Amino acid sequence: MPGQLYKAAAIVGAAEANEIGFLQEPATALQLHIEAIKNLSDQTGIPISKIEGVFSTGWSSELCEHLGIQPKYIDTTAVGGCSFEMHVHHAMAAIHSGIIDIALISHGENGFSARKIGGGGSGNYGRGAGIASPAHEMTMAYGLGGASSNYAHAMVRHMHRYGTTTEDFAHIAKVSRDWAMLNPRAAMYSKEKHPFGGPITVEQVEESRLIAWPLTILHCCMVADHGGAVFVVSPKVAAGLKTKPVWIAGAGESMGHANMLEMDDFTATSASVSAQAAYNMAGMGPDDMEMALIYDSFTITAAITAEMLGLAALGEGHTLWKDGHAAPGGKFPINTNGGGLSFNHSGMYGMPLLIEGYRQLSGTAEDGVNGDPGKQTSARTCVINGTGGTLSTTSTLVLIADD
Amino acid sequence: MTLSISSLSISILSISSGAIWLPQSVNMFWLRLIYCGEELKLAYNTPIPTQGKHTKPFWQGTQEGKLMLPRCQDCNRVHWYPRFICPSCHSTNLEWIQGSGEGTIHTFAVQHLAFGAWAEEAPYVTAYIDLKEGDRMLTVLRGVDPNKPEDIKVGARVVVEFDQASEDMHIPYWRMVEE
Repeated sequence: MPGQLYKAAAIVGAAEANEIGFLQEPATALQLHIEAIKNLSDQTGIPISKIEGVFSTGWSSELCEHLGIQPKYIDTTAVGGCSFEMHVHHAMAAIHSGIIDIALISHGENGFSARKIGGGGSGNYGRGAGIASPAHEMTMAYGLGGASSNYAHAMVRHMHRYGTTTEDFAHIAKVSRDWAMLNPRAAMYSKEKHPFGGPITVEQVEESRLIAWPLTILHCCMVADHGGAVFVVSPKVAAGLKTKPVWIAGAGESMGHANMLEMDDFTATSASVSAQAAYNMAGMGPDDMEMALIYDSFTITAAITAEMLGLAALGEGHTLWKDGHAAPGGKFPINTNGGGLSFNHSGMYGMPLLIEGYRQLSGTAEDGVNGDPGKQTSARTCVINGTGGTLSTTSTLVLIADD
Repeated sequence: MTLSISSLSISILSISSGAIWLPQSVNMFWLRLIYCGEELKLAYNTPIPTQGKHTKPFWQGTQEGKLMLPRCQDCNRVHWYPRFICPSCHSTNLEWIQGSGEGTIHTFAVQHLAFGAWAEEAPYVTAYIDLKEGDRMLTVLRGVDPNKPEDIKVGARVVVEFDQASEDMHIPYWRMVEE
């Protein structure tokens, strides 16, 4: 039986900044936010002045000031890339309780442009005590840098525990690229769009440059520019719009740790907990899902998460991709936009998950190109899972198409 | 990490030419030694932690070659990193015990892309160590070949050692030992 918040709110629009990817003309994070919000307002017909709640990773007060609005609900949850799925969860609760009817969830992050112009980067990741924390004190000496340096440890443990190989995970990168080649907005859509774009093979994934063994660069997501926004609204508001609603049937969130030092089991995340909460709210289970959108910061992230979501047995997450089920034309499409691996990843990937989930279930995903099978799937249900930090925080949503 | 002649000469050259360039993470202790003309024993270039208020017993221990670990006097569990409260039973009745300095590799990775002073050390092996007393530490692993990750085994035995990083800081590192 569904929970109290089942279909308490709907996503009624999803838009992106005018240009995303590796921008030739650098953009600030704020610009990416505002472009996406303007496009979202145009798409849905909801005036910016009608926004009642604003949800973003630390940006909310600046966004509201820039837009000249005074909301009555403000949320700045910033726990990494899954924050946006949590924003949906929180917006549902605020809507259900009657505080607001129209929530804006916004993302702007110039992961690529920031190298040239600075300008905002990713906002606040919610690092708490930061350098004054004892966890930092006891780990900062040991040469870990970017996310890849941490995540590689999880892949080694998975290989040790389950006998998986780097080749198993390489299929995830290959399949994601196949999807990206059906999506003209994907950064790796073609060689013309990006020198490293276009088709890749499992062998190329295996043989590409080592970043943190066993992760080669093609096991890693990109760091590009992205801005995106969605509206989450009450059923009452959804009924009067020109855009189709996509219903939020379930939502859940959890966390395992902040610092990877505290990760108890390197082959499991709190997605098992957040997914159970989302499935419970929806009154559904993994067998009811017809597609999935999974934060693929690295191939290993996608594989482990598929296991946590109950889409595959423990140790077998990669088989969804390796056996072709997740690929274009497969029976269980995953990451139909090309994922963080090949579509876009600006540092926090939660917003592209929401946008693709809306597009797929509202029937507005772009059609296939070059005579390939369409990117638009026939799925009517979708499980979305964001992961933040170093496999630290998770949030899961179950979306269903309108009747 | 002992000082090599080449890196010494580069440092002196850069000082004498008036163009002192140092990455942010290079510790000033090294630089001060050069100025004082003392015998150069130390070349610890990678980042050094700042001691926290409640972690002094740990750092005091490293000075003496001891691995001090926090333990809860109520549930007897050792935890790492040091807390203000026991993460298992939430008692604040904590004490420091001397650890065995022994452990095993829980998992590891080989860092090829590194930043700051660590960039010059790449490739190197990072590892999470399961302590004999319980819980886990991060380290840069020694006694292993970063170009042969297939020879590094999860579960292999490791022992702790300490590097003098500055006047008052010794940093623990773990070394894989032959069975």
